[in-house]
Amino acid sequence: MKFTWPKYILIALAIILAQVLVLNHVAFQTYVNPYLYVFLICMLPFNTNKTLTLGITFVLGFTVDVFSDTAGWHAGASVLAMFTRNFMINITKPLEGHEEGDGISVFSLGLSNYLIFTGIIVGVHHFYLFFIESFKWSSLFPSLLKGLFSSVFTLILMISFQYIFIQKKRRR
Amino acid sequence: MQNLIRFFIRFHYLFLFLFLQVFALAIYIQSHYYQRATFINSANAVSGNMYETVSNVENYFQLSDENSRLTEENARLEGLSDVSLLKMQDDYILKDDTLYQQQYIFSSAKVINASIHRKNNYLTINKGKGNGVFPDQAVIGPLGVVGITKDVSEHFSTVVPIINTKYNLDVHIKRNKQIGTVSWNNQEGLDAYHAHIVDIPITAKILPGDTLETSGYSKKYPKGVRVGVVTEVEELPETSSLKVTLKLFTDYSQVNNVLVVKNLMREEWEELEKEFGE
Repeated sequence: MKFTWPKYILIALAIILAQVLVLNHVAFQTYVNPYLYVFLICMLPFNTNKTLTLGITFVLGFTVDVFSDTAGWHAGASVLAMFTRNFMINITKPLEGHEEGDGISVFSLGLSNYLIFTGIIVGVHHFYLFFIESFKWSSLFPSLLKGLFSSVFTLILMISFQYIFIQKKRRR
Repeated sequence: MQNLIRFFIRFHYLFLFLFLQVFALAIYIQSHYYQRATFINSANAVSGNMYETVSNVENYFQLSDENSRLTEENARLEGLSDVSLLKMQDDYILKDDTLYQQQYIFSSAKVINASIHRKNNYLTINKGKGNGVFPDQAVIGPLGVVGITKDVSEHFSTVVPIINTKYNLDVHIKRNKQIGTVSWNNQEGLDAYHAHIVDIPITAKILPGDTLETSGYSKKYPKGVRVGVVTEVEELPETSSLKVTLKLFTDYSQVNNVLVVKNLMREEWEELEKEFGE
Protein backbone atom coordinates (compact mmCIF):
# COMPACT_ATOMS: atom_id res chain seq x y z
CA MET A 1 0.00 0.00 0.00
CA LYS A 2 1.36 3.37 -0.98
CA PHE A 3 1.39 5.73 1.99
CA THR A 4 -0.17 9.18 1.49
CA TRP A 5 -1.19 11.73 4.11
CA PRO A 6 -4.83 12.21 2.97
CA LYS A 7 -5.30 8.44 3.10
CA TYR A 8 -3.70 8.34 6.55
CA ILE A 9 -6.05 11.03 7.87
CA LEU A 10 -9.08 9.15 6.49
CA ILE A 11 -7.98 5.87 8.08
CA ALA A 12 -7.22 7.74 11.33
CA LEU A 13 -10.72 9.23 11.44
CA ALA A 14 -12.34 5.85 10.78
CA ILE A 15 -10.27 4.07 13.42
CA ILE A 16 -10.77 6.77 16.07
CA LEU A 17 -14.53 6.63 15.49
CA ALA A 18 -14.49 2.82 15.75
CA GLN A 19 -12.39 3.12 18.91
CA VAL A 20 -14.56 5.59 20.80
CA LEU A 21 -17.94 4.36 19.62
CA VAL A 22 -17.46 0.59 19.64
CA LEU A 23 -14.18 -0.67 21.07
CA ASN A 24 -14.22 1.48 24.22
CA HIS A 25 -17.33 -0.42 25.21
CA VAL A 26 -15.83 -3.85 24.60
CA ALA A 27 -14.48 -5.69 27.65
CA PHE A 28 -14.44 -9.38 28.36
CA GLN A 29 -14.08 -10.33 32.02
CA THR A 30 -12.49 -6.89 32.65
CA TYR A 31 -9.23 -8.28 31.24
CA VAL A 32 -9.56 -7.46 27.56
CA ASN A 33 -9.88 -3.87 26.39
CA PRO A 34 -8.75 -3.49 22.77
CA TYR A 35 -7.12 -0.23 21.68
CA LEU A 36 -7.04 -0.50 17.90
CA TYR A 37 -5.81 3.05 17.37
CA VAL A 38 -2.23 1.88 18.09
CA PHE A 39 -2.39 0.65 14.50
CA LEU A 40 -2.09 4.30 13.43
CA ILE A 41 1.15 4.58 15.39
CA CYS A 42 2.58 1.43 13.81
CA MET A 43 1.64 2.18 10.21
CA LEU A 44 3.63 5.41 9.65
CA PRO A 45 6.49 4.85 7.15
CA PHE A 46 10.03 4.16 8.42
CA ASN A 47 11.45 7.43 7.17
CA THR A 48 8.87 9.87 8.55
CA ASN A 49 10.46 12.78 10.43
CA LYS A 50 10.81 11.61 14.03
CA THR A 51 9.81 14.91 15.63
CA LEU A 52 6.72 14.99 13.43
CA THR A 53 5.74 11.45 14.45
CA LEU A 54 5.77 12.40 18.13
CA GLY A 55 3.54 15.39 17.41
CA ILE A 56 1.11 13.28 15.40
CA THR A 57 0.84 10.62 18.10
CA PHE A 58 0.24 13.17 20.80
CA VAL A 59 -2.64 14.69 18.82
CA LEU A 60 -3.95 11.20 18.10
CA GLY A 61 -3.89 10.10 21.73
CA PHE A 62 -5.32 13.39 22.86
CA THR A 63 -8.26 13.04 20.46
CA VAL A 64 -9.05 9.61 21.88
CA ASP A 65 -8.72 11.12 25.38
CA VAL A 66 -11.22 13.87 24.65
CA PHE A 67 -13.80 11.32 23.59
CA SER A 68 -13.22 8.84 26.40
CA ASP A 69 -12.92 11.28 29.33
CA THR A 70 -9.37 10.29 30.18
CA ALA A 71 -7.29 13.48 30.01
CA GLY A 72 -3.73 12.62 29.03
CA TRP A 73 -4.03 8.86 29.57
CA HIS A 74 -4.02 7.75 25.93
CA ALA A 75 -1.80 10.69 24.91
CA GLY A 76 0.96 9.59 27.28
CA ALA A 77 0.73 5.96 26.24
CA SER A 78 0.77 6.86 22.54
CA VAL A 79 3.82 9.08 22.87
CA LEU A 80 5.67 6.34 24.72
CA ALA A 81 4.62 3.77 22.09
CA MET A 82 5.87 6.02 19.31
CA PHE A 83 9.16 6.59 21.12
CA THR A 84 9.56 2.81 21.42
CA ARG A 85 8.76 2.40 17.74
CA ASN A 86 11.31 5.00 16.64
CA PHE A 87 13.89 3.45 18.94
CA MET A 88 13.31 0.00 17.41
CA ILE A 89 13.51 1.37 13.89
CA ASN A 90 16.78 3.05 14.84
CA ILE A 91 18.48 -0.06 16.20
CA THR A 92 17.33 -2.30 13.33
CA LYS A 93 18.24 0.20 10.60
CA PRO A 94 20.13 -1.39 7.70
CA LEU A 95 23.36 0.35 6.66
CA GLU A 96 21.88 1.78 3.48
CA GLY A 97 18.82 3.07 5.35
CA HIS A 98 15.19 2.11 5.01
CA GLU A 99 13.41 2.27 1.68
CA GLU A 100 11.29 5.29 0.93
CA GLY A 101 7.57 5.50 0.88
CA ASP A 102 5.55 2.52 1.97
CA GLY A 103 3.64 2.49 5.22
CA ILE A 104 4.47 -0.32 7.62
CA SER A 105 1.98 -3.12 7.14
CA VAL A 106 1.76 -6.86 7.49
CA PHE A 107 2.36 -7.13 3.74
CA SER A 108 5.51 -5.00 3.64
CA LEU A 109 7.18 -6.69 6.65
CA GLY A 110 5.81 -10.22 6.47
CA LEU A 111 3.60 -11.70 9.17
CA SER A 112 6.26 -12.85 11.67
CA ASN A 113 8.36 -9.67 11.52
CA TYR A 114 5.23 -7.58 11.75
CA LEU A 115 4.06 -9.52 14.82
CA ILE A 116 7.37 -8.93 16.63
CA PHE A 117 7.53 -5.27 15.62
CA THR A 118 3.96 -4.34 16.54
CA GLY A 119 3.81 -6.80 19.44
CA ILE A 120 6.44 -4.80 21.32
CA ILE A 121 4.80 -1.44 20.55
CA VAL A 122 1.30 -2.64 21.48
CA GLY A 123 2.63 -4.36 24.60
CA VAL A 124 4.40 -1.22 25.83
CA HIS A 125 1.35 0.90 25.06
CA HIS A 126 -1.18 -1.36 26.80
CA PHE A 127 0.98 -2.03 29.83
CA TYR A 128 1.54 1.70 30.30
CA LEU A 129 -2.23 2.30 30.10
CA PHE A 130 -3.19 -0.32 32.65
CA PHE A 131 -0.31 0.45 35.01
CA ILE A 132 -0.99 4.18 35.02
CA GLU A 133 -4.67 3.46 35.59
CA SER A 134 -4.08 1.67 38.89
CA PHE A 135 -0.71 3.32 39.73
CA LYS A 136 0.27 0.90 42.47
CA TRP A 137 3.14 -1.58 42.68
CA SER A 138 0.73 -4.12 44.11
CA SER A 139 -1.29 -4.09 40.92
CA LEU A 140 1.78 -4.66 38.73
CA PHE A 141 0.88 -8.28 38.04
CA PRO A 142 -2.82 -7.69 37.22
CA SER A 143 -1.74 -4.83 34.94
CA LEU A 144 0.72 -7.11 33.16
CA LEU A 145 -1.95 -9.75 32.71
CA LYS A 146 -4.49 -7.24 31.46
CA GLY A 147 -1.87 -5.74 29.13
CA LEU A 148 -0.99 -9.17 27.76
CA PHE A 149 -4.55 -10.28 27.04
CA SER A 150 -5.57 -6.94 25.59
CA SER A 151 -2.43 -6.77 23.42
CA VAL A 152 -3.20 -10.15 21.88
CA PHE A 153 -6.72 -9.01 21.10
CA THR A 154 -5.55 -5.67 19.68
CA LEU A 155 -2.98 -7.46 17.48
CA ILE A 156 -5.63 -9.81 16.11
CA LEU A 157 -7.83 -6.80 15.33
CA MET A 158 -4.94 -4.91 13.68
CA ILE A 159 -3.95 -7.79 11.43
CA SER A 160 -7.48 -8.73 10.44
CA PHE A 161 -8.15 -5.04 9.74
CA GLN A 162 -5.34 -5.08 7.17
CA TYR A 163 -6.38 -8.34 5.57
CA ILE A 164 -9.96 -7.11 5.26
CA PHE A 165 -9.41 -3.54 4.03
CA ILE A 166 -6.00 -3.52 2.36
CA GLN A 167 -5.60 -6.95 0.75
CA LYS A 168 -8.56 -6.23 -1.52
CA LYS A 169 -6.85 -3.22 -3.06
CA ARG A 170 -3.71 -5.25 -3.79
CA ARG A 171 -5.57 -7.87 -5.82
CA ARG A 172 -6.97 -5.27 -8.17
CA MET B 1 24.62 30.04 25.95
CA GLN B 2 25.30 29.06 22.38
CA ASN B 3 26.36 25.61 23.55
CA LEU B 4 23.17 25.27 25.53
CA ILE B 5 21.08 26.10 22.47
CA ARG B 6 23.12 23.69 20.35
CA PHE B 7 22.60 21.03 23.01
CA PHE B 8 18.84 21.52 22.91
CA ILE B 9 18.76 21.43 19.11
CA ARG B 10 20.86 18.26 19.02
CA PHE B 11 18.61 16.43 21.46
CA HIS B 12 15.34 18.14 20.50
CA TYR B 13 13.67 14.80 19.75
CA LEU B 14 14.42 13.42 23.22
CA PHE B 15 13.35 16.65 24.90
CA LEU B 16 10.11 16.74 22.91
CA PHE B 17 9.39 13.17 23.96
CA LEU B 18 10.06 13.91 27.64
CA PHE B 19 8.03 17.11 27.49
CA LEU B 20 4.98 15.46 25.90
CA GLN B 21 5.20 12.50 28.28
CA VAL B 22 5.41 14.68 31.38
CA PHE B 23 2.67 16.95 30.07
CA ALA B 24 0.34 13.99 29.42
CA LEU B 25 1.04 12.49 32.83
CA ALA B 26 0.54 15.86 34.49
CA ILE B 27 -2.89 16.46 32.99
CA TYR B 28 -3.87 12.85 33.72
CA ILE B 29 -2.92 13.12 37.38
CA GLN B 30 -4.33 16.60 37.69
CA SER B 31 -7.66 15.45 36.25
CA HIS B 32 -8.04 13.16 39.24
CA TYR B 33 -7.70 15.85 41.84
CA TYR B 34 -9.27 18.97 40.41
CA GLN B 35 -12.25 19.91 38.35
CA ARG B 36 -11.03 19.04 34.92
CA ALA B 37 -10.48 21.72 32.31
CA THR B 38 -13.69 21.56 30.32
CA PHE B 39 -12.16 20.97 26.92
CA ILE B 40 -10.47 17.61 27.63
CA ASN B 41 -13.60 15.73 28.61
CA SER B 42 -16.63 14.48 26.76
CA ALA B 43 -18.74 17.42 27.92
CA ASN B 44 -17.23 19.68 25.25
CA ALA B 45 -19.15 20.76 22.18
CA VAL B 46 -17.55 18.52 19.52
CA SER B 47 -17.59 15.20 21.32
CA GLY B 48 -20.78 16.03 23.21
CA ASN B 49 -22.69 16.66 20.00
CA MET B 50 -21.28 13.53 18.38
CA TYR B 51 -22.23 11.35 21.33
CA GLU B 52 -25.70 12.86 21.36
CA THR B 53 -26.24 11.98 17.67
CA VAL B 54 -25.05 8.42 18.20
CA SER B 55 -27.15 8.11 21.32
CA ASN B 56 -30.23 9.33 19.46
CA VAL B 57 -29.81 6.51 16.95
CA GLU B 58 -29.19 3.95 19.68
CA ASN B 59 -32.28 5.05 21.56
CA TYR B 60 -34.57 3.82 18.80
CA PHE B 61 -33.38 0.30 19.43
CA GLN B 62 -33.99 0.54 23.16
CA LEU B 63 -37.39 2.22 23.14
CA SER B 64 -39.33 -0.83 24.30
CA ASP B 65 -36.90 -1.60 27.15
CA GLU B 66 -36.90 2.02 28.21
CA ASN B 67 -40.70 2.12 28.11
CA SER B 68 -40.99 -0.87 30.36
CA ARG B 69 -38.54 0.68 32.82
CA LEU B 70 -40.52 3.92 32.90
CA THR B 71 -43.77 2.00 33.27
CA GLU B 72 -42.23 0.12 36.19
CA GLU B 73 -41.35 3.40 37.85
CA ASN B 74 -44.85 4.73 37.21
CA ALA B 75 -46.30 1.63 38.80
CA ARG B 76 -44.11 2.10 41.84
CA LEU B 77 -45.04 5.77 42.17
CA GLU B 78 -48.69 4.99 41.62
CA GLY B 79 -48.48 2.68 44.60
CA LEU B 80 -47.29 5.58 46.73
CA SER B 81 -49.90 8.07 45.63
CA ASP B 82 -53.12 8.93 47.47
CA VAL B 83 -55.42 6.97 45.16
CA SER B 84 -53.89 3.65 46.08
CA LEU B 85 -54.06 4.20 49.81
CA LEU B 86 -57.11 3.22 51.83
CA LYS B 87 -58.02 5.87 54.32
CA MET B 88 -58.15 4.35 57.84
CA GLN B 89 -58.98 7.50 59.77
CA ASP B 90 -60.75 10.65 58.91
CA ASP B 91 -58.03 13.13 59.75
CA TYR B 92 -55.68 13.59 56.82
CA ILE B 93 -53.03 16.07 55.95
CA LEU B 94 -53.72 18.82 53.51
CA LYS B 95 -50.86 19.78 51.25
CA ASP B 96 -50.87 23.32 52.43
CA ASP B 97 -48.27 25.72 51.17
CA THR B 98 -47.62 27.08 54.61
CA LEU B 99 -46.97 23.57 55.92
CA TYR B 100 -44.99 22.33 52.94
CA GLN B 101 -42.29 24.01 50.99
CA GLN B 102 -40.67 22.64 47.89
CA GLN B 103 -37.21 21.36 48.76
CA TYR B 104 -36.15 19.40 45.66
CA ILE B 105 -36.81 20.12 42.01
CA PHE B 106 -36.06 17.68 39.22
CA SER B 107 -35.18 18.21 35.59
CA SER B 108 -34.96 15.46 33.02
CA ALA B 109 -31.87 14.62 30.98
CA LYS B 110 -30.66 11.87 28.70
CA VAL B 111 -27.45 9.89 29.12
CA ILE B 112 -25.54 10.21 25.87
CA ASN B 113 -22.33 8.37 26.74
CA ALA B 114 -21.33 5.92 29.44
CA SER B 115 -18.26 3.90 30.32
CA ILE B 116 -18.61 0.91 32.65
CA HIS B 117 -15.42 -1.12 32.28
CA ARG B 118 -12.84 1.25 33.65
CA LYS B 119 -11.66 2.00 37.14
CA ASN B 120 -13.05 5.52 37.04
CA ASN B 121 -16.18 5.39 34.96
CA TYR B 122 -18.12 8.41 33.76
CA LEU B 123 -21.46 9.22 32.17
CA THR B 124 -22.24 12.21 29.98
CA ILE B 125 -25.71 13.79 30.00
CA ASN B 126 -27.20 16.25 27.54
CA LYS B 127 -28.01 19.06 30.00
CA GLY B 128 -25.55 21.70 31.12
CA LYS B 129 -25.12 25.16 32.59
CA GLY B 130 -27.66 26.52 30.12
CA ASN B 131 -30.26 24.12 31.54
CA GLY B 132 -29.53 24.97 35.16
CA VAL B 133 -27.24 22.03 35.92
CA PHE B 134 -24.30 22.77 38.22
CA PRO B 135 -21.40 20.63 39.49
CA ASP B 136 -22.13 18.39 42.48
CA GLN B 137 -25.84 17.80 41.89
CA ALA B 138 -27.47 14.41 42.32
CA VAL B 139 -28.59 12.42 39.28
CA ILE B 140 -31.20 9.69 39.71
CA GLY B 141 -32.63 7.26 37.17
CA PRO B 142 -35.96 5.42 36.96
CA LEU B 143 -34.59 2.52 39.02
CA GLY B 144 -32.55 4.43 41.58
CA VAL B 145 -29.42 6.48 42.25
CA VAL B 146 -27.13 7.15 39.28
CA GLY B 147 -24.45 9.55 40.53
CA ILE B 148 -23.46 13.19 40.87
CA THR B 149 -22.55 15.76 38.22
CA LYS B 150 -18.91 16.73 37.97
CA ASP B 151 -17.95 18.93 35.02
CA VAL B 152 -20.53 21.14 33.43
CA SER B 153 -20.31 22.85 30.05
CA GLU B 154 -22.93 24.99 28.32
CA HIS B 155 -25.04 22.05 27.09
CA PHE B 156 -23.54 18.89 28.56
CA SER B 157 -22.31 17.56 31.90
CA THR B 158 -20.31 14.59 33.07
CA VAL B 159 -21.64 12.42 35.87
CA VAL B 160 -19.58 10.41 38.38
CA PRO B 161 -21.56 7.18 38.94
CA ILE B 162 -21.45 4.83 41.94
CA ILE B 163 -19.15 2.62 39.87
CA ASN B 164 -16.27 5.09 40.13
CA THR B 165 -13.55 4.60 42.74
CA LYS B 166 -13.63 8.29 43.58
CA TYR B 167 -17.26 8.26 44.65
CA ASN B 168 -18.79 7.32 48.00
CA LEU B 169 -22.51 7.44 48.69
CA ASP B 170 -24.18 7.64 52.11
CA VAL B 171 -26.97 5.08 52.42
CA HIS B 172 -29.12 3.43 55.04
CA ILE B 173 -31.05 0.21 55.25
CA LYS B 174 -34.72 0.81 54.70
CA ARG B 175 -35.80 -1.65 57.41
CA ASN B 176 -33.80 -0.40 60.43
CA LYS B 177 -32.08 2.79 59.23
CA GLN B 178 -28.58 1.38 59.81
CA ILE B 179 -26.26 3.76 57.95
CA GLY B 180 -23.26 2.94 55.78
CA THR B 181 -21.23 4.12 52.80
CA VAL B 182 -21.39 2.53 49.35
CA SER B 183 -18.05 2.36 47.60
CA TRP B 184 -16.88 0.64 44.45
CA ASN B 185 -13.52 -0.51 43.16
CA ASN B 186 -12.99 -2.83 40.23
CA GLN B 187 -9.77 -4.11 41.85
CA GLU B 188 -11.91 -5.86 44.45
CA GLY B 189 -13.49 -8.10 41.86
CA LEU B 190 -16.60 -5.97 41.46
CA ASP B 191 -18.32 -5.54 38.11
CA ALA B 192 -20.55 -2.66 37.03
CA TYR B 193 -23.62 -4.18 38.67
CA HIS B 194 -22.36 -4.69 42.23
CA ALA B 195 -20.78 -2.55 44.96
CA HIS B 196 -19.65 -2.83 48.57
CA ILE B 197 -20.85 -1.10 51.71
CA VAL B 198 -18.02 -0.17 54.02
CA ASP B 199 -17.93 1.02 57.65
CA ILE B 200 -20.63 -1.31 58.90
CA PRO B 201 -19.93 -2.48 62.49
CA ILE B 202 -20.11 -6.22 63.12
CA THR B 203 -23.01 -5.71 65.49
CA ALA B 204 -25.25 -4.21 62.81
CA LYS B 205 -28.30 -6.20 61.83
CA ILE B 206 -28.10 -6.55 58.10
CA LEU B 207 -29.39 -9.46 56.05
CA PRO B 208 -29.31 -10.47 52.38
CA GLY B 209 -32.41 -9.05 50.74
CA ASP B 210 -32.41 -5.75 52.63
CA THR B 211 -33.13 -2.71 50.45
CA LEU B 212 -30.74 0.22 50.61
CA GLU B 213 -31.76 3.80 50.04
CA THR B 214 -30.13 7.21 50.35
CA SER B 215 -29.95 8.29 53.96
CA GLY B 216 -30.77 11.96 53.63
CA TYR B 217 -27.53 12.86 55.40
CA SER B 218 -26.33 14.02 52.02
CA LYS B 219 -27.15 17.49 50.82
CA LYS B 220 -27.54 16.26 47.25
CA TYR B 221 -30.06 13.43 47.38
CA PRO B 222 -33.59 13.46 48.75
CA LYS B 223 -34.05 10.87 51.48
CA GLY B 224 -35.19 7.44 50.38
CA VAL B 225 -34.00 7.17 46.78
CA ARG B 226 -33.44 3.48 46.10
CA VAL B 227 -29.83 2.32 45.68
CA GLY B 228 -29.66 -1.47 45.65
CA VAL B 229 -30.39 -4.72 47.41
CA VAL B 230 -28.00 -6.62 49.71
CA THR B 231 -26.87 -9.92 48.20
CA GLU B 232 -24.08 -11.05 50.49
CA VAL B 233 -22.94 -10.35 54.06
CA GLU B 234 -19.52 -11.52 55.18
CA GLU B 235 -17.94 -11.06 58.62
CA LEU B 236 -14.40 -9.74 58.78
CA PRO B 237 -13.20 -10.66 62.30
CA GLU B 238 -9.83 -8.88 62.00
CA THR B 239 -11.41 -5.45 61.62
CA SER B 240 -14.64 -6.45 63.39
CA SER B 241 -16.72 -5.11 60.56
CA LEU B 242 -19.03 -6.50 57.92
CA LYS B 243 -18.26 -6.74 54.23
CA VAL B 244 -21.58 -6.24 52.50
CA THR B 245 -22.08 -6.73 48.78
CA LEU B 246 -25.07 -5.19 47.09
CA LYS B 247 -26.63 -5.38 43.67
CA LEU B 248 -27.24 -1.91 42.25
CA PHE B 249 -30.73 -1.18 40.95
CA THR B 250 -29.35 1.07 38.20
CA ASP B 251 -27.97 -0.89 35.25
CA TYR B 252 -25.25 1.43 33.97
CA SER B 253 -25.00 -0.38 30.66
CA GLN B 254 -28.59 0.61 29.88
CA VAL B 255 -29.26 3.82 31.79
CA ASN B 256 -30.90 6.36 29.51
CA ASN B 257 -33.46 8.77 30.98
CA VAL B 258 -32.33 10.40 34.21
CA LEU B 259 -33.39 13.24 36.51
CA VAL B 260 -31.04 15.91 37.81
CA VAL B 261 -31.95 16.89 41.37
CA LYS B 262 -31.64 20.39 42.73
CA ASN B 263 -31.88 20.95 46.46
CA LEU B 264 -33.38 24.41 46.90
CA MET B 265 -32.34 24.58 50.54
CA ARG B 266 -28.78 23.44 50.06
CA GLU B 267 -27.20 26.85 50.60
CA GLU B 268 -29.08 27.34 53.83
CA TRP B 269 -28.01 23.87 54.97
CA GLU B 270 -24.37 24.43 54.08
CA GLU B 271 -24.37 27.85 55.69
CA LEU B 272 -25.56 26.31 58.93
CA GLU B 273 -23.14 23.40 58.94
CA LYS B 274 -20.19 25.59 58.03
CA GLU B 275 -20.38 27.15 61.48
CA PHE B 276 -20.26 23.92 63.35
CA GLY B 277 -17.56 22.57 61.08
CA GLU B 278 -15.16 25.19 62.33
